[in-house]
Formats: sequence, C-alpha cells, structure tokens
Amino acid sequence: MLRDLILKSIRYSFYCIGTHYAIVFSIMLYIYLYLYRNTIVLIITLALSILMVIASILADRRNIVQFINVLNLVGIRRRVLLVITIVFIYIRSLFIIIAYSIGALYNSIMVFLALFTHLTLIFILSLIIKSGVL
Amino acid sequence: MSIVVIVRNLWKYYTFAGSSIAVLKDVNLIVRRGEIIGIHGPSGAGKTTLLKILAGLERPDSGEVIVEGYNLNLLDDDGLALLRTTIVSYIPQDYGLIDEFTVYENIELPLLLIGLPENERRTIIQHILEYMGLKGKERIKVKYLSGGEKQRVSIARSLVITPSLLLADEPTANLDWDNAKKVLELFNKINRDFKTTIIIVSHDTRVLEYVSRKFILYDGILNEVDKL
Repeated sequence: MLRDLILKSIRYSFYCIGTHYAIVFSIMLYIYLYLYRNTIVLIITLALSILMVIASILADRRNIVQFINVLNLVGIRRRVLLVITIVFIYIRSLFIIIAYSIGALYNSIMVFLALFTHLTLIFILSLIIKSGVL
Repeated sequence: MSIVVIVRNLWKYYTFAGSSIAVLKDVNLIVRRGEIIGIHGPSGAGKTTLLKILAGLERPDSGEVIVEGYNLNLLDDDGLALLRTTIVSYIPQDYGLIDEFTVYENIELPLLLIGLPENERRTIIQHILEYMGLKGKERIKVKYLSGGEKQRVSIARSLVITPSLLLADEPTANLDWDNAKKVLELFNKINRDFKTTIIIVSHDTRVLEYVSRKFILYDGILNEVDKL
C-alpha cells in the first residue's frame, strides 16, 4: 500500500510545475558550481537553492493542497500522509542535491552540509504543509 | 430499520476576527438505514460543516455524533480516517479529485489505503466503472472530463469501499439541470442497489424531490420539513 502511494506521490510531483523549475535550477546550479569552484559560491548557491525549494512548493501550492485534501478525504492515516508529503517535497530537492553531488565533488563536506540542510528543510516544510499552514 | 446516524445536541462554532459565531445550533438528527435525506439551506447555513462533522473531517464543539455505533468524539484522527475508508464516504462540492490522475487512479485511491492486492482492485474498479457508465474512460485524465463526468467519478470513488453512509455536498451545484437530474437518479439507484444510506445537502430545492426525508438548515438550526 505505502509503496503504491509513494510511487503515485513521486509521479504527481513530476507533473507539477514547481518540480520543473527545480530541475531547470539544478542544471544552472551544476553549471555554476562547475565554472566557479569556491566555498563562497557554494554557500551562496546553498542559500539560493533553499529559496528555490520554497519557491517551487509555493508554485505548486494549489496542487499540494489538492493532493493532501483528497488523500485526507479518502481516509489516509496521518503518519502515512507525512511520509507521502515528505516524498512529494523531496523529489524537487533531489535534483538540487544531485547538482551539488556532481558539481561540488571536490568539497565533500559541503555536499554533506547541502544534503543535511535540504533534508532538514524538507522535513520542516512537510510538517508545515501537512498541518495545513502553507 | 436500524439507525445509521445519531446526532445529539450538536454545536459548532467558528471564530471570525476574534468573535465566536455558532454555525450549528443544537442540531439533532436520526437517520435510519436505507434512507435518502435531503438537507436544504442557503449558503453559509452550516450544511457543509454538518456533513464534514458526520464524515469525521471536522470535530464538533459540543454534542454527540454516532455513526454506525461509533461515537466520533471518542475516535482519534486515525480512527476517523479508518471510518472514512470503511463506513463513510464524503463527496465534496468540488468533486475532490486529483486532476492529473486518470479516472482509474482516482477511483483506486481508497482501495490502496485499504491495502487490497492489485487484481482485486482491478476487478472492483471495473465493476464500478461499468455501473457508473464510465467504461472506456478509465485511462482519461480527470482534468479532461466534463462536470457531470467528474461528479460520476467522484461518486464512483466513494462507492468502491461500499460505504453504508454516503454524504454528498451540493452534488448538483456545478451541473446543468439535465445532468443534475441524472446524478440524483443515480443516487436513488445506488440507494436501491447497495442499500446505502445517503445524505445530500443542497441549496437547490429541486433536489428535495429526489429524497425520502427533507430537512431545512437555516442559520445553523435544523428542522424536518414535514414537522414544521
């Protein structure tokens, strides 16, 4: 059951325009990291990519609300809903993390920092979205 | 006839700009198995709130709601969610469908939550699609359907779990009268074929011609028409 719902969540996330923005941003991010390899650039792009994740969620706000409302309507349990929401949000961050991973390979600490920051952000955003604030 | 819904002394308040407004005022209702109840009232009378409370989507501020013997006040959020996957189906005014999913995928959602294997899901969905006259449309994305078709998909999704209580919020509001009549006739057919108890709320008085008991909800107060 959970596997099917997660797959549906991933597919739905790919339909949404915010994920498309995040993919385009990731390509630009990779090029930028490849051309300007230094720590300051990494920190700035990290901040920008956090904004990108938030912006992509706001772009898909209507879809996210619709998705959560429908699942709630048909009787999804709260814990499962949280997992589905995390997956939905994570997909758009995944491309940014991949860009960091291949664009900033020379600085493994920064890759882990980027990964940790994104995962924390995703979890917080998922909690906010699930509770219906966003 | 056994009783499906008991509502006793139900009150619900909403807070607007710091002041508390009673949306439902001491609502009492008993619904017996197999009945089709029509609740008519103007916009803002509290119709949707009442349905959402019966579906366990909102909680009352005071009073008691018992559905199929379950006191909703005593159930936690997961208990109410379980109620919606087994006993109660709620059809919202905006159909409550995911536009990017196909008809099949939308109808499949409640069955996924129950955890049915794929072949059983397919059999049930094919049966429901045929019953609802949606055969051949299962691979079409919902966003490409007309209002009447969306409504039928929404009803189909609510039927896959064979609920004992079906709650329909303004099912005819977005339809022309020809399509609205078809939907109301469909509710009567579902009631006959599945013995499903149905509660329909609407601001359209014509809907009341298709129900067995009529109520009016005005300013949060519910009255039965025949007893007025």
